[in-house]
Amino acid sequence: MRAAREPLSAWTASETADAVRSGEVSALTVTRAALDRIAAVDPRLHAWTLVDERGALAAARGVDAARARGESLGPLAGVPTGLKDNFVTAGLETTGGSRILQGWIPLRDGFHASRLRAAGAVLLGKLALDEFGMGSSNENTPFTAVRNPWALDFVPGGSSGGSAAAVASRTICFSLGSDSGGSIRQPASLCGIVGLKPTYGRVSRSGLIAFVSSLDQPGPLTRNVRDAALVLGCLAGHDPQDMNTIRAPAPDYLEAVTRGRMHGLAGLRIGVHHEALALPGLDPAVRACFDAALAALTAAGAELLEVSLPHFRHAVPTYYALASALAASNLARFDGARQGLRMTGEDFVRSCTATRSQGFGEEVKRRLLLGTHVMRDPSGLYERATRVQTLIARDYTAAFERCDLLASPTTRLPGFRLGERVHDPVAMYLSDIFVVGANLAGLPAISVPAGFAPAITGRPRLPVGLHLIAPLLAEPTLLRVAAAHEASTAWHLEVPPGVA
Amino acid sequence: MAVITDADIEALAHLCRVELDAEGVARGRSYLGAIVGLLETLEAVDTSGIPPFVAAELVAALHDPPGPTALREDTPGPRVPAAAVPS
Repeated sequence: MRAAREPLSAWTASETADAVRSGEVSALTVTRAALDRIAAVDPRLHAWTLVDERGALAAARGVDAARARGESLGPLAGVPTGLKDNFVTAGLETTGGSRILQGWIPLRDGFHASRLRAAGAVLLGKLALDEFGMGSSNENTPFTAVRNPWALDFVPGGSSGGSAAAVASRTICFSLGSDSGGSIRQPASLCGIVGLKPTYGRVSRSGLIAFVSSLDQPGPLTRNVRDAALVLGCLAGHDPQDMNTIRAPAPDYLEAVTRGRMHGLAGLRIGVHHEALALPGLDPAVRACFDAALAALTAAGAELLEVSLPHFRHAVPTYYALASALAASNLARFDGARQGLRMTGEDFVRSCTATRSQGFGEEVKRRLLLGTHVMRDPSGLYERATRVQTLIARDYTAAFERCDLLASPTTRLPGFRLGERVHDPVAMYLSDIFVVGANLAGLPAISVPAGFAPAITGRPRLPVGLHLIAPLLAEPTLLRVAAAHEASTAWHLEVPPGVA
Repeated sequence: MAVITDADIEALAHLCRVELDAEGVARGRSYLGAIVGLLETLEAVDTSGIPPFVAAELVAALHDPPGPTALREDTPGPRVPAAAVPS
């Protein structure tokens, strides 16, 4: 039992659910502790856009009442959580991080809120993001920018920056994010936690506000690998509301974690992506953490080999061509006629234009311009990008004929200051280089804590992530390797000093 | 490299249904000029004989047992009469 030794905020999702099921602690006590912690630390972080105290306490009482009746409790019984504010939630304002949806209160839960509630999780509220998922720093927002718990003048990453900061600061055990081009893994790396993007189609997108429909994939952000497996197990599987979910049974993800922790990695081959390491601008401290992570994997029994992804350098332009075009198409639905902000004009077109002009932020407008340019480009830029996407996916297929998993750092830098890059969007886009490939090929990928870049002049001590990519549906391999790495390190146990 | 003009930005903004003031047009031109240069690097990639990537086909290949994609044939259907479209 941890209750006597550590505060509730230190407990993982697995530990909390076990304790609630056994009666060691009530869901109400856990929820009240989480709400108190949000009140204590979030004024410095701004990770939460909405805290539903009344709904959370009612849900917790419901879990406790079910236990008192002798009912079987779900795998996330009494575990406090939050959803990125692009997941639809019944009765709770859902903005997508945009002024254009402010005030929209959906009538029903989406797939994710519904599944998590059914598993016993207690939804505390909604978490900040870059507007509609467009960004890598959480600065693309009409609201207050989220701060990194490790250094309050640094960005938490994005677009799921609120989801990462809330977990890293221990206000909740886990959160959900969405990952279209690294938006779970990059903030997880910058905030020193675990972020898992499943195989495209493994988790439903129903109830997720669409950004890049052919790349969007929800997933968990957690403080350890076991929790990522636990939450994935609650979400994975076919959903008739999403035609692009895979009709295949979800394996036992927790067993894969146990296997990694207990039995190591003998027989596994991990490909080290050498083009990634040759990139200019890779921070030496990031490289040092990555080398240490490779040494830990080798010590656990894995064999390392060098692999090449010949079209790697085309991943960022391919991603931005496709993502901007699809975003421009998806965001066409926001016209002020149905939900959120509504400006009035002389006719529908003028009303719609006024609404979109007022409602969308600078980065969204940039992406709309770019996406529209891509779609009307007479040379066929959009279609060419889809063909390059095939080449990128084939590179991964070829690599996985030689190895079981690919490894690289998650980011080139351990982080950057608020405001440092916001005026250079192209430089911001190029920082996604390690993470967008997995989205383009539909592959599962994870970022796990891999150490810290030491404090140097002008930069505090900041976390660094190890990025692992697996073949399609090979989440068990991904979790096994991540768990083996975690078992030999203690990075995931450190608490950010800004919120300790 | 394609040259992006103010007129290009104004035309794109009109299609996107967003209004830009003179400063917004200038910022849009600067941004698009920079990012389009990056996207045009894709022209150097030999894509002859390479099919487009289709996410729905990836998902269909992973069904157990394998199943068809959820996509219908991309063929034109009957036109909707203008009178039936809400104004």
